[in-house]
Amino acid sequence: MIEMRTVDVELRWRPSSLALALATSAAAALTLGLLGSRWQLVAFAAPLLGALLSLHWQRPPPHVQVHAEPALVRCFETEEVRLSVWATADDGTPVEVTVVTVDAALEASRLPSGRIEVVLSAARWGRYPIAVRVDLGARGGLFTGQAATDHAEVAEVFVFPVAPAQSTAIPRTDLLDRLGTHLTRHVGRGVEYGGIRAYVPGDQLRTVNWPVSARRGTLHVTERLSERAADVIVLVDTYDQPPGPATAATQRTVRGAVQVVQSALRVGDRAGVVALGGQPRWLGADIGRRQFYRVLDATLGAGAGHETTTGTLAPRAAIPPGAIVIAFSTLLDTDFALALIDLCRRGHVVVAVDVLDGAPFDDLDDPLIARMWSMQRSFMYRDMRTIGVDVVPWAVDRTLEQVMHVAPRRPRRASAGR
Amino acid sequence: MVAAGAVCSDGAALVAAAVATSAVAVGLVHAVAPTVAVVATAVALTLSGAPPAVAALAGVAATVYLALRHVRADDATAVLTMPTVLGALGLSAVAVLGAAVPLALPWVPLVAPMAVVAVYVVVVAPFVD
Repeated sequence: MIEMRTVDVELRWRPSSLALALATSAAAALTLGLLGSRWQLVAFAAPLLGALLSLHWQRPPPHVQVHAEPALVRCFETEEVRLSVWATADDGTPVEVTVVTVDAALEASRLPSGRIEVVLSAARWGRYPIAVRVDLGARGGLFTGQAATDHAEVAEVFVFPVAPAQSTAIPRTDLLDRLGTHLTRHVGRGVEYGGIRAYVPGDQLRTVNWPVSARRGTLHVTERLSERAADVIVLVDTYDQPPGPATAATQRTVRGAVQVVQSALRVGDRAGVVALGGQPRWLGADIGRRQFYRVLDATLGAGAGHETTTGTLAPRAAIPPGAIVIAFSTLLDTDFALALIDLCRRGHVVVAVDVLDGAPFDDLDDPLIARMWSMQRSFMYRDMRTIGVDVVPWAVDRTLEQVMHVAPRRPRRASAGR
Repeated sequence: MVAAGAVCSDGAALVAAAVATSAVAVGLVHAVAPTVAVVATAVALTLSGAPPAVAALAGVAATVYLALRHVRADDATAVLTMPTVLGALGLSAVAVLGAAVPLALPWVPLVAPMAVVAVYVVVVAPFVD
């Protein structure tokens, strides 16, 4: 995280207030001289014009660089992060720097060394670019320069969502044959009691249930249920949404995705993420605490630890065979629905969490429209379920673990390719 | 600057000088007032008809005054650079010497206005594009 970024600022030069004042005064004096036939006013205007004429012998305008350290900062919501920003001109001209950002509480203080220390905290997850406005004078104060683009972006702050600690259930399905923590119906080497059956040669002696064997007169063994692991891939919809409630609902896509990944990793499952829309990116499934931060990075597009791809479908490399796919979307975009259907055809169990609660219209005067919208949505849910994608509506006043419990059981199907 | 402009003044020119003085006072807090002060000094010079050397002195003082009123970050060396000072002094010396030459050609009043406008356009041209 400790890295410094240097950005060359392209400046737009225009006459300074000094040049304008000199030119105005000289023009007024010359006009007065011409009108009043007073030639001494030419002598009065001569030094003013001389100062303007000296532009040709002034030093050339400097190149300005803006530095930020660190240039990429990660934090969680409402956390405070600090970074320092400063600007240098190659000929030592003092540069005025103003730090700006949007939707975040920003506090800038100038240090004695000339650097500006920025303290930033944001209440909502997202990417917060730190931009600077640059202002300096050059060429004997006759020109002022400002950044050609209004803001020169010099640093980024990625604010990650804080997910609720509650564990979310994964859809009940046939899990992979890998040791884990999810109890299954299959008999194997678990700890949960599964049943008692007669001993057959090959059974381990330690599994023999001696009280039952003594009562029945023949050897009996205790069976245990196996516990298996799952691969959970979270699909995040990052397509542009229509303004209004749909855009507001996207706030919960990443929050829900993080909660699912967090609870999956906590019970030892492998978790990965695929973000579709805009610049699609993905991170393969893996286990562990570090994977959690890698998933956060990939979800918001921070750093370079994730893969990028093109197209609208989830890449095959991102979704391991037999993985459970949990998608968070407003389900307004056809491309995203197509990606879900494609995953279903490949044999994955797909659950889509609909984060859009209600109609996506800002000014809803007629309650009939809201009712028609909810009917249309329920038809769409039914159609998607017919295809194989279970859609779970996530109301604003419910928590994710509550809605994930209602995901129906669906056995894993053989994929079309196999 | 105002003293040099008012040195030969009386009546209406003194009023212009008083305006210039008050504009200098306002210029301590306001950004446009220094320009007003310089223009008022030019008006006082027009009304009083001071000799060219005095006008040139007032002009040099006006240039330094404007430059110092537009200093950024308390660094006067950034605006009063060697080219600026030499340019102001050099061109005022040329103007005073030109006025001192006792040459009265009959076509000078005809050419002078156009020459003045041409010089002004040439000087201002680099700032316009």
